[in-house]
Amino acid sequence: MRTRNLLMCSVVLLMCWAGIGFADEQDAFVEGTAEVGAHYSHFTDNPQRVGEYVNLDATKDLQADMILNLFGGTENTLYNINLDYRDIATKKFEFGVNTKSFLSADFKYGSFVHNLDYDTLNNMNGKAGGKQVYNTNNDPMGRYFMEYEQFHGDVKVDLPFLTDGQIALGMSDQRRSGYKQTMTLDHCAFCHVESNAQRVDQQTRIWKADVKGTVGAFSLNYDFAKTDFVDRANTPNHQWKSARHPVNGNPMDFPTRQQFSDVTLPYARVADNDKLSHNAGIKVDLKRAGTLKGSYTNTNRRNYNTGIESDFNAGAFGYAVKLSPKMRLTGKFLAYETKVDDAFIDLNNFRAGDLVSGNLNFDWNRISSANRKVYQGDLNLGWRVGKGKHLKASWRYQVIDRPAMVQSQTSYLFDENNVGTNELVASEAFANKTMINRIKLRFDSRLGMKGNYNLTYTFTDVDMPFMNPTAMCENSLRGTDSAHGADGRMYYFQRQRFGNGTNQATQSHKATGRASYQISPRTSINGFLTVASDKNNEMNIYEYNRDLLTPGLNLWTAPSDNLLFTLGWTYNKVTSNANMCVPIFDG
Amino acid sequence: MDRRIFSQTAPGSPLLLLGGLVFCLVLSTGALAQAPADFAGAETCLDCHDDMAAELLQTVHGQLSDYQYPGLAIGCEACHGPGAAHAESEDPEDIFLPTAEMGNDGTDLCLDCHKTGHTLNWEMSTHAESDVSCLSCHKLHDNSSSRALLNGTEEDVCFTCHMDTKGKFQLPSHHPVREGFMTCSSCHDVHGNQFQEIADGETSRDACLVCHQQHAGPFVFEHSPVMEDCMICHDVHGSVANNLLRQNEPFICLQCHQPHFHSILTGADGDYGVDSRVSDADPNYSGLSGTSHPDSMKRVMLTKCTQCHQSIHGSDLPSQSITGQGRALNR
Repeated sequence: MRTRNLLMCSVVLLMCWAGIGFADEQDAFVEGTAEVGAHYSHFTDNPQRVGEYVNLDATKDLQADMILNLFGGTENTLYNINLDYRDIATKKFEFGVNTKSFLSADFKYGSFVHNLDYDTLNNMNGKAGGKQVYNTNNDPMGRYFMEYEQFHGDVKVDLPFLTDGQIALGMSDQRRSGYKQTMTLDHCAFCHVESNAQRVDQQTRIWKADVKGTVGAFSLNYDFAKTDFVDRANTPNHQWKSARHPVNGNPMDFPTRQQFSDVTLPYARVADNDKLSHNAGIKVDLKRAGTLKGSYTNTNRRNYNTGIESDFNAGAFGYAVKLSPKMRLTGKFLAYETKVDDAFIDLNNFRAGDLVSGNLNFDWNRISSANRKVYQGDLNLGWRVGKGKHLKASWRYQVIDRPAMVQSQTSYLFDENNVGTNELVASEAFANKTMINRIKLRFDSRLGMKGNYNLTYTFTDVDMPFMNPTAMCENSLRGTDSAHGADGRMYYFQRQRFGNGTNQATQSHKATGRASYQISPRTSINGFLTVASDKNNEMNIYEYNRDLLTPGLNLWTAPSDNLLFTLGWTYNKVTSNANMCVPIFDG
Repeated sequence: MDRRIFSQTAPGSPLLLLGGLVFCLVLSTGALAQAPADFAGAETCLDCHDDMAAELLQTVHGQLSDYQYPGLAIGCEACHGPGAAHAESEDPEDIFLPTAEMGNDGTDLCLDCHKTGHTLNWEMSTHAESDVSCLSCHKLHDNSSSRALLNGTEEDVCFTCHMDTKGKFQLPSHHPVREGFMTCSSCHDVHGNQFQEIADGETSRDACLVCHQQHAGPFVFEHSPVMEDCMICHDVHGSVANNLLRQNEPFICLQCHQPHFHSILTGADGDYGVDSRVSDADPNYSGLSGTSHPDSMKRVMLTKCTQCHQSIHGSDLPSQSITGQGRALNR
């Protein structure tokens, strides 16, 4: 915080310096606009439903608005000042200065309020036989919001005698403060959900350095970034009650099925973390032979609370060439690897005292689902087929090689080949290789001198997309229980199934059209239509479909220089089908 | 006039004294040295084109110093070439007009100076592949007050083509772009990025984590789609469902997960009586009796999964159930 205040003071001093400097100049100029106004809003019911970014605390009174845009300078220096003030929590300020294009600095400060959900938990009351769900709301007047406050500063110094040479230093400081609703789930005899207000005091600070320049045919760029994230709010604690059996209420039975019981522990803990990244790129201008580009990136992210780290290493290579004055070919290849530390999860033995059918060990070694090797190739051909007409065809092939689709390895699951025996087997890692083929065609054309249109079609074929391989993993257990069959509750039989699930398509078609036309010098119209159809019929239990239809129409007309009307209409329809919930209705 | 890098470097200039290597590299660019006499200077251009050029001089393009782009012309003639002949004859044929004489609105000319930094990846970018030119978004003349010389506000420029995205920002849940607290470039690198097509960051997830670091982890207990791609669950430009979800809960969850079997139990809700064995032990459960509803457990289990699984983006803290192996993400 102290660093940011220091930087803010520096900005004010810089502005004073700029003002004094400009006052002495004979050829100083300044131009700009100023707007003043006021707004008043009133709400009833729950304002969060429609006012996601309205500062509700500032709507009680008439609020003054002010917008100021100034641009000025001299022969050697340019500056801009932009202010947008709506209320004390909703404001933006920008200041930029550029001295003979040698030294430039940009500073931005802004804040706004984001209203968050309030869940009354009214639905969380239910009882079925001995099973019961109950809730406690400790903040019934819930008012949850996050105030975003961001400062960003960049200082750039051009390197003399080097084409496009520059050193840049940047700093960004984002603060998120307010209150959010957090909940705890407590398995005592019942499921007890308890809601509380939790203070949020998070800060993300990013330091950046960037150096670039061109020497002859070689253009170089290196940038470095360090990100630190902390949450200074206290982690809340909750007292988990003594676990009991949900049916017979026996206090001595259930604790051995729970990892913890009758204890006060933290929950909703935010993981402080940092990230370090290096990125180096080089581009070689081969003139008529094209442009060659390569880059290498390394990032490391660390979770302060656990020490778990992730590493990302990537190499990219690209080549672009004009095959003829009207035809352009681009080829790209990208390979990267993400590695996240494993974590061993040491759990209490399940039903530890039951040495006949219990005392099961559920310990597991967590292998991150983020681990992967990715290889991606792109080919793109652009062709100017006529005056004002351009055709583009592109093809992408991507392989995502994951050692584990979901976080898992030596994870114990019920054996699908041995249902009814209640055996636990070690499920090998859900290794998965996703292969994506994508073809894209796009045609752009002018409509005489007054308009233009384009058409785009994309087809994507995915083999083994990201999915949950254990979306349905139910063993039979009581599937042959005649008592349940006798009272018509056939749902237990329906549970005897094992399947994967996803909302990712194996085949996707998407077509988009857009057109703009100038009806008169002061009136223009444009419209668009997007149609998409996603399908996955390669899962073993159900089929997933998603269809999208989005048309839109916009009209722009300016009867005079000072009067402008715009009218827009957009319709968005998305239909999804994932018919995997059948057991609900059987019940 | 042929396209060229317009250079004012005369033989014997200080640049060539930097050494043989630099000398060779400069020559390898194909820069064609023009005698300074061929250049008229911006002041000469202004004599006739005061309407167009005066404001140009109030931009970074008009304020470059001699040493910034060694060997290259600055001012009007940086793009339009040596103007002495044109100033003499006033014949349009004697001046280079990039938009008319070069393909793609003269983008290649811009890239002669803007070679690296933001534009390092331009040639391989989706925009370049779609024949989008610099002038599709930027306006060099009569535009001095615009930040980055954009042809309008950032949103105006982007939404000219991306109309469906503009429509999505009008939906009830959206990022605060139309409120003015974010811009398209908050997430997108429109000049190209080697990883995503135009998303800013190593993966699309990293673009989101710039502002949502609390979900970065890496966590002990993960939710796999969070590690895969935020857009599996979220429609980041706008959605009808709250929190930018592609669908409301529980339907978004049920696309990959089967519901708890409790949701199919015929039950009761409301002011029902609580089992005395428990209510005796805990006053929170006491004093309830009365109505019931057979759908109660459906409402409990099939309304909002994150009421219990609140740490849906990942957690370092194990959940209570041993058979769930601590990974239920409800703590």
